[in-house]
Amino acid sequence: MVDKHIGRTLAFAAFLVLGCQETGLVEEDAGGPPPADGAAPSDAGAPVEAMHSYTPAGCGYSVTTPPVTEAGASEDVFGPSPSADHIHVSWAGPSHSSFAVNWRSDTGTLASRVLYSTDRAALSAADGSGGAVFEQLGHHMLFRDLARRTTRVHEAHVCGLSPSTEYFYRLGGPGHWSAVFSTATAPSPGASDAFTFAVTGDSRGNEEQAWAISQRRVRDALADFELFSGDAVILGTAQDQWDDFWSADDGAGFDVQQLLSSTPLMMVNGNHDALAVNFVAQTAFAQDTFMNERAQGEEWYSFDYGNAHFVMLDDNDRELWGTSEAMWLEQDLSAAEANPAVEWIFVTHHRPFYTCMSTHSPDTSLRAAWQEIFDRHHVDVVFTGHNHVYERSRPIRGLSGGQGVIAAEGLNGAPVITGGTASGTVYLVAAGVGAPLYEVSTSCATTYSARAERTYVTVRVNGRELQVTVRNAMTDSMVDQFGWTKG
Amino acid sequence: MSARAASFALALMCLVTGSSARAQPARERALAAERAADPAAARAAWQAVAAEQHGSRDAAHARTRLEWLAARSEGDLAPLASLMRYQVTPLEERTIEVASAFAQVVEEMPEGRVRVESRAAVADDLLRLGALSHARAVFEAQLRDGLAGEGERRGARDGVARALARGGDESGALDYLERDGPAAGGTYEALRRERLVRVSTPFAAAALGLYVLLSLALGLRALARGGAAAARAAWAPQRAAAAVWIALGPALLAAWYDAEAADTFLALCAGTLILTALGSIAGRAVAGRAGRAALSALAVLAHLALAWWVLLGSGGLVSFL
Repeated sequence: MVDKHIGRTLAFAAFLVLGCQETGLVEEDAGGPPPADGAAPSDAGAPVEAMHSYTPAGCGYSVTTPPVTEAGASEDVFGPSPSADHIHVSWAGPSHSSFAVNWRSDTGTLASRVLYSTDRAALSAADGSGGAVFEQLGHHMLFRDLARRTTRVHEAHVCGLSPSTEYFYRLGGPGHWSAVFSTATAPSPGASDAFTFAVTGDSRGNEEQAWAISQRRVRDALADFELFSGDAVILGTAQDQWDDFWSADDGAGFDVQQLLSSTPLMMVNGNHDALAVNFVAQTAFAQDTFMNERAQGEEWYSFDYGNAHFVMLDDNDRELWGTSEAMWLEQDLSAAEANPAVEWIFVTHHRPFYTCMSTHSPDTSLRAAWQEIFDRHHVDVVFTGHNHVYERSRPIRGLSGGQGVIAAEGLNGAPVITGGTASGTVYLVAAGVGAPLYEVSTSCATTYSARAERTYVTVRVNGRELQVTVRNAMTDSMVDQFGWTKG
Repeated sequence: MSARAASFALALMCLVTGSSARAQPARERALAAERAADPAAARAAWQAVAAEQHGSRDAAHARTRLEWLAARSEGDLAPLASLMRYQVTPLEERTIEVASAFAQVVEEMPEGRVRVESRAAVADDLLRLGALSHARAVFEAQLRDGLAGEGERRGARDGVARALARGGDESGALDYLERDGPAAGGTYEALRRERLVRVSTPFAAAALGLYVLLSLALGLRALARGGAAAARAAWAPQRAAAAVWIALGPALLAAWYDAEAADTFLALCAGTLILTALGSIAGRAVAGRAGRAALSALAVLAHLALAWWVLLGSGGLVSFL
């Protein structure tokens, strides 16, 4: 009898463990278009769900919210304290001509406008568009988290911008504008202008204020944008943890909004983020829904910056990763490889499939599903997290019995370049800017270097030259550096 | 296109590309100077970028970097140059001699941000390299520095505690962190976790060992008394199927939804089945409610001990302890 209870308890624990990783997000009905603005009909007693879909002026792409308690177009309605916070930018459209911005307000504020300009002084003085100041309307969403707390967030997409240009912006509505923030557009597609991006991941828990400290380092490293390899929070449906993620400070006068309001943060879904409505509603990425992709098409996406192509994948749904996501990946990388403007290809996802003796084993089924596609299209570097360590693989190309084949290796573990193509892909695990550190080993044949340290990565792309620098987030001292030039 | 329009377009193009071409070398000069740990040259180059390409992506970067340099300009940027040189030294070259020498340099720096940041960098290296007392001394100097921010002071306190723990004084490390009130943070949690694991492991081993030994002894007694009939009664097909399903169900779910967790659930499943099988046959040898209740209670403890060990081994508890 007792044993039966224990068995049931274990089964229940398994349900809880697995259930915790469920999305908390109502599945999008793939069979038809999203409902029009406003609340959708619902059963008595069930939470009211609403979606809002529209094409932001001048953007040429449509935006659909996840199903939330309320969603709608900007209205000039203001709550008792309408000031904007948790301000962060990203790209849902072309990086050289657009940006998206998300922010939070009190629950009563529905105004979701952006004023923007290249003229900071004109913008500071403006209460609306006119002259050098332009305006864009966004949308708002109200959602409830696991603790039934309501949060009002806003999102706006600004398009038709000039490449490599700094834009200043303010958020809110007439009489209630935020302070002035700024962000910059990418160089023109294919331009060989040098740029820098940062990579971080697994901030969940924010131990030692490592998330905020890493963001200060990213700002000081002059990153043009940042890739995040998942697990921003411990529990994706807990809004208080997302609040901490968007507002963490380092205890020395820096808060992450100082970086994220200007430097686009491009994220992938981690197993802890669980593609929760909190994650989807508070971020804006390209919504190119492919087959049964979830999260209104934001589950996986890609974007270009200068001469590089970036692919952001979700590796948390095994029913999708080997089927529709793999098909999309093949199509996306084929197009990137055929694009003469693309000289570099980088992939980011959460679970590593090359990692050595750490807490999580290498995900071999993911490796079987994706590596051949990466190989076929000559992906340069793959960034992952999940194991809270730093690890760099040797260049890898091909599989033999499910194991990665080590490719020709040049100086300091970099791939050898032949005819402009690298001999293999380098797989990086760079995570732990807040999550508990794990152990790691260099004893695996595929591992080139590994350290149990909280690190942030900066990648400098200068035409056909690549330099990857890994630093300890807490001390800013160098942990690893490597790179190569494609002829 | 008319000649006038074409010349206008050409002039515009020259203006745009010309300013970009001018700023590009300045930016590259600035970055090269930073790589060469020459902050004075970097400052001059960033000033050029900011002046030449106002309103550009690079100008925004230049402003950020100039602010950063201004906040670290004590000693006419010489201390910053030392710190930059140290930070870009490859990890394997930051030996105990190199770190000790830099620690000496740091204590001679004028007060300011650079000294605080330098201490954080060198103390962490000294700790990594096993120079525990020296690391602790640098962390303590950081705590006495009025310019160290709240985060840096917390980092220094954690550093002292880590030095104590690495030296074998784990309790002293925890006491140190608790000295100024309720402690928190990654180091404290990690130290507590280590202590909890160390203290709990013998109890878990004892519970599991006692249960296995007792149930084996009782099971053998039951088999001796009842022979194969006792085993058949304990492991009736229906009961065995239910046990297998209860144990295997989560493992199957894990294998389907999260292959990475399958090993953990399989270990739990195998352990649970063994403990359950032992318990059910041992139960045949126990008469009376009190005896069965005691065996059941021990079975519960054994299952918990098993789960504790499996989840610790898999890393599944590290975020929750």
